[in-house]
Amino acid sequence: MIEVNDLEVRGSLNAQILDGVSVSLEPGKTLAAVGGSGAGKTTLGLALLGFVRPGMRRVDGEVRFDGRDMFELPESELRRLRRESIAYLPQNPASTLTPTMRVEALIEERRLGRSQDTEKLLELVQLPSDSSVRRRFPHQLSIGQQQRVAMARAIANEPRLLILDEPTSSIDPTTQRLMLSLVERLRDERGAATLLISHDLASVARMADDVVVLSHGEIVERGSALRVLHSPVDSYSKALISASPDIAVDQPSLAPDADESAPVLEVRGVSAEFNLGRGRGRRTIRAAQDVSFDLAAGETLALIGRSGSGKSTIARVLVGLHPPGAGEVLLNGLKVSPHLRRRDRNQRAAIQLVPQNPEESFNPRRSVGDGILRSIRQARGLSGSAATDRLALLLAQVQLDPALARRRPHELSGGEQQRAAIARALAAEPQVLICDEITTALDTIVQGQIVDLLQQIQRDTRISMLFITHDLALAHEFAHRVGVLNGGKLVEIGPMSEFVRNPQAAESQELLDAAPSLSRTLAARRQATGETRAIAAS
Amino acid sequence: MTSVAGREVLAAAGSRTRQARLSLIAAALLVLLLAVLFMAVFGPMISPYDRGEVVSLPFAADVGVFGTDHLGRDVLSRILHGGRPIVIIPVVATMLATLIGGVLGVAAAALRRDDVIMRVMDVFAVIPSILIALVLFHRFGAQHWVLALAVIIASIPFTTRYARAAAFPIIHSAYVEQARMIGESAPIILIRDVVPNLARPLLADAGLRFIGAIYLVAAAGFLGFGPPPPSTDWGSMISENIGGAGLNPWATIAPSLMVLLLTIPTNLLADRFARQVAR
Repeated sequence: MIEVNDLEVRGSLNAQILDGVSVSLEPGKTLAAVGGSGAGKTTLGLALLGFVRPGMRRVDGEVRFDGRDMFELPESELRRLRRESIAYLPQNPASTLTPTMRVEALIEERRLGRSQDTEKLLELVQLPSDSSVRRRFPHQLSIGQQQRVAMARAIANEPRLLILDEPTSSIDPTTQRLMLSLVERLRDERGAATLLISHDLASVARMADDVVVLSHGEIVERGSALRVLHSPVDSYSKALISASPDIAVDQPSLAPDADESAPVLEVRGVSAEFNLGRGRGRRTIRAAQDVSFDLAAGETLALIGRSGSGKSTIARVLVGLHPPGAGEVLLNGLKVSPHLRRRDRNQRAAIQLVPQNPEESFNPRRSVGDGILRSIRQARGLSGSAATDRLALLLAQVQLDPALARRRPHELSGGEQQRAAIARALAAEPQVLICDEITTALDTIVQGQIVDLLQQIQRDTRISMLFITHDLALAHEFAHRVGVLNGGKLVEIGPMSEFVRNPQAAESQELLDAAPSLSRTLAARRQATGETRAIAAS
Repeated sequence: MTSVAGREVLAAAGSRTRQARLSLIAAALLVLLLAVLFMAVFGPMISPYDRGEVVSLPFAADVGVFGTDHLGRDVLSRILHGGRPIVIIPVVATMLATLIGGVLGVAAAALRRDDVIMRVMDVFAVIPSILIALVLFHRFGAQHWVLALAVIIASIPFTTRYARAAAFPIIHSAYVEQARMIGESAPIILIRDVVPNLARPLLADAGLRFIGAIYLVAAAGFLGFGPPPPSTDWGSMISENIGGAGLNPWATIAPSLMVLLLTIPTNLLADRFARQVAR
């Protein structure tokens, strides 16, 4: 139905974005495109809309939809094709909703008078179909509800081609499952062709019939999903697949060589809230409720939970950015002030945060090296050549090329930015390193490298780490203990190895079920196809 | 998946030919603007006659380049003399207004309760700038510094509002938070993190604000609040000579053209710069 032939797209300075890519999509089939950041996955997805992002240009090749080259279609025809036959869900589906349109108008716009009415569509995405949702504007919905509305829009025109660009990366497990089942339904009932762009190999294993592995704009491997994911041939595919965290793969039981005597950090009954909005629309969110835990030297505690469970608030409380309403934080047995300003230099240096988005945490007008130096000077009081020597040492520790440290933050890749942010945190020689979703924006290979780096640093310095994430499979690879947050409450805390075998809280079980596992999914699918073959043979 | 940075680079590159054509236009505008500014500042030195010198009959069209004005003075000479106030007052006043508005805006963005500053600004924002100028002329007389003061008072509500909006995301950015976390003091954060990132958007706004200032100075001159005779500015010249437009149209057209040649390139360039900053 859709054929991409020898597509070549170039960006600025003639950089090769896609280099002779050919794929074909069949009705009722799902093709997955996997690969690291910058591999050209999104460009390929957009090309299926007959679209090339500004700043890029198509040099060669064609995209045929029902035999017609989309790049040769007149603009009006192309728009009609997109409107009537294609649906596209980007990485953050909620961002596709026009803020000034009500939910019903948003859905009506895409429905084009086709069979299912708005009510039915809302039911399909498990939203209440009465006026409580229909008459609302996007900002009056939770992020999860917004994502569901975006999904309802995507299926409203009963598309023949569905393009999903990293659909699950910003979505919590329940919504994720709903989305995958909707896609399956659309595929089975309507025979839609789907392109799934993802770095979540477990959902690829579940959904895809075929897989193409992209690297630097080229397809390095293609084949059936089961074959490619199980026994990749290309070296890049192998690296990609082995870097993918898997909850079902047993990890060597991790025991920190920590002395149990005195914890470095003690969190005692911390509750925190913050206000949203002003005046009459003001709401108070209880982001953390009576949270207590300890952290020993050389230990890694993973804090997991879905978005809005209070993970980041706890990080902010610990560094003093968000004074808690109740409770206290003890460092080496001594109470530290809840207010950043009232902490002394050593207390501030002792707890360091590596933020969620490293790029935004560096001054855009200055080099990242300058940002690290600043931390060295301010937190450790070094100056002159002592400071620059320390900088060189830190860059070596995080394996960042000193030449890159002279660049501005936006000139670095995501992984490099994260290394720089880690170096800046280490510059203070902290006892506790808080990592707040630091791997979310990275592809799996870079993710693995960052985790390896953190483990190595821990071995060398016996630093304690609080690893905040929603990715249980990743945390499972290297955290000694795990704490589960749900609605601001710590519902379970214990050693990781025990937790994986025998979770106590219902929320833990749910997170564990939702955690991606390539091996488990592959096994399940192989069994299913094996059974069908057996039935067919008998 | 291209990073945000990558996308910016790509967007900035754009289509090369289009880019080149645009920068050619921008260069031409800049040359034109510089020529007008040069003429305004150094005009008195190259002027053939003095600004008060009567050279012929009133509204004589056949004398000099642009003929004579309503008192028989050389229009070209008066144009060369009349550029200084209309260029220098807006430049100085806009710079001061941006500075004051910048300080107030940053203060408003940094404070939790910024209502006091902003409500006072809102009150001033509704008064038409020309009205502010007229009131001040009435009290202090039509002098250059009064005109500059009027421009400043009329601009500050807008520069403050703009500076507040531009400073807010910077003050609440992750990098300022990072600086706070390592215990950096407020003045240092202001100098190293806030001001450098605020400078470009504020400059872009100042460019647009400058046009409003030129308008106010020209309008004041046209209404008869220009500098005392025999000194002059282009706005005053338009109103002085409009009665003789039938006899010597150049006496009116030439100063009008000068105002246009000053404002249009400034407007387009400031707009262009503002758009680049916003990107």
